[in-house]
Amino acid sequence: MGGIWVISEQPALLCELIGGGRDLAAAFGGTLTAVAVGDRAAAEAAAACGADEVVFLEVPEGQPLESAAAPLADLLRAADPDVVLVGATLRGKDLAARLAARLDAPLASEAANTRVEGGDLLADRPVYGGSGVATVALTARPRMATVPARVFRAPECAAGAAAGASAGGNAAGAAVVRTVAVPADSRVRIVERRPRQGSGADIAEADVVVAVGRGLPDRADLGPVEELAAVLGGAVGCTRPVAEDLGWLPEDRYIGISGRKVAPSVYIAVATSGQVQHIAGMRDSRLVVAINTDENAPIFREADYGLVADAREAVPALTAALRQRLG
Amino acid sequence: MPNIVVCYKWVIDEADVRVESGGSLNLERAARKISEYDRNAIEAAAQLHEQHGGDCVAVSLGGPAVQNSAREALARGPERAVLAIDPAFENADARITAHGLAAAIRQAGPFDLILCGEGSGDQYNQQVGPRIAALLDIACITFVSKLELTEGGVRAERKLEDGVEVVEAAFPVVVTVMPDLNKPRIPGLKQVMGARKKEVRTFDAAALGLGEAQLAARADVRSLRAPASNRRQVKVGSVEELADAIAAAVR
Repeated sequence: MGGIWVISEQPALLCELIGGGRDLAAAFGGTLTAVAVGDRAAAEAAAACGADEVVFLEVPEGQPLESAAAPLADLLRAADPDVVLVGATLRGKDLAARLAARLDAPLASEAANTRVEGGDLLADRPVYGGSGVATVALTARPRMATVPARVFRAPECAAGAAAGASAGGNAAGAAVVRTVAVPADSRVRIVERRPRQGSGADIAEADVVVAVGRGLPDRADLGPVEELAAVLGGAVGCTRPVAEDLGWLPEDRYIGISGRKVAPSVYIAVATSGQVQHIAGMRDSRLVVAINTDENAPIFREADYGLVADAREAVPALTAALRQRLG
Repeated sequence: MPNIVVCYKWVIDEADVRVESGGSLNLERAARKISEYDRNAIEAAAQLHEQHGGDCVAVSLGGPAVQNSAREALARGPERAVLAIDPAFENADARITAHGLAAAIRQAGPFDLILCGEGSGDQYNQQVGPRIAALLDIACITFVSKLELTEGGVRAERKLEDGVEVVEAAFPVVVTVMPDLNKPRIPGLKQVMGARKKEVRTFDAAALGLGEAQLAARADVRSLRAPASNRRQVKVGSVEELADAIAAAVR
């Protein structure tokens, strides 16, 4: 037995894990099995993305997704894979921990830069509130890791692009989806769901993120920041104090080690000091630019381009300059 | 009256972590503290205990330094403490920690509700709560931002990426809590003095029935260093230059 298993409830993330799992399957040998938890669209996307086998775990209505841990642990025990990757959403991290306990397996949380060395799976992960990066070696199988969005790239395929939308029918040669019913489990029952309030797009999926920090003088200064984000088709995020202490933005907008992790093409830091806890949530951004009045602010060491300026002047000016360039 | 167990970790204060010139981390002079989110868990335990009575026991695991943590933990409200202390628990990974805490919880007595922070301030694995639940084969509710007791169980609000999921579970149940659940109290002199009189029981790994099978590390930390920044760190003099860089990246 052996092989690589990748698990997520999110279509796009599952496709990314298939992309990363392919490399591991080559290193360890064996097949790549994708498990879609609770979402049939994720199963169809996984089949179209080239997983060798696809399992759809059908979770009964009113039951948290994590109740899939018991049957999934049985499947994993039978397959005895070399590596198990789980998408590092909150539900995914919960599910992964339950699986790891049932399999008595090592689990690296929020892993990046996964690689194989002497039969061990190595991964880098943030520790001490983002002050440190630990390289963890998983030395017993199944080697497990949870992996956030955008660490791996989804394979080039129809579903990779369309994942999350309608994955449609199976492409030629795609794996057949095997459905496994999660047994009824009455221990935890969902009594109400309140979808996320319309606080705008999910910042983790935005291609441009403008993040504000406590250096922003006034709540009213958020208006021009929203305009800057809008001209770039991006979303506004913030540091933890802006959401939790000031309450200027919803808590699902704060970026950091204990908040959302983002890795957009462009990250614009406005009046953020650059605390390690915040940096840990945006380190994988492609281009980082920073605007801050304090020329010694640590954010400038984490930025590709920095401008020492007052946000109240620089933000509207930047919006205007971008509007000119982007038409 | 519910019997409440609250788990906490005695962590290195991340504010004391020093970066050496070569990028390695120096933890030697770092102070210890009760991990931030575990303070929310202890506060929740204390409030529920004050409202509903029953037992309230604080449980922790680690190396010898953990002995020093009991007084602060107990000053925050729990009635007694059970500590799993062994050199083998120094720098324990999440798997070993969960084995040790589950065993210590069994030693602590009958339990209905086990509270944990959603992650620790040092490793932030976010694994120990659900792992304990799986090892004890009981229900688990993670990422809870609101919690109340019901007849024989709990009602909890989980704050997840796509919204709030309100769930109910009967005892026994593990609940991991988010920082917005409550505002932890700051113990006064009276609470600190009162904590001296509270019972602290200590168990080593052997007394908890843990052997090589549980204690052998399967996740080794091979290196620990400051995160490397490979940013260009170019200071520009005008908004126009910023706009050029951004426009090039989004096109």
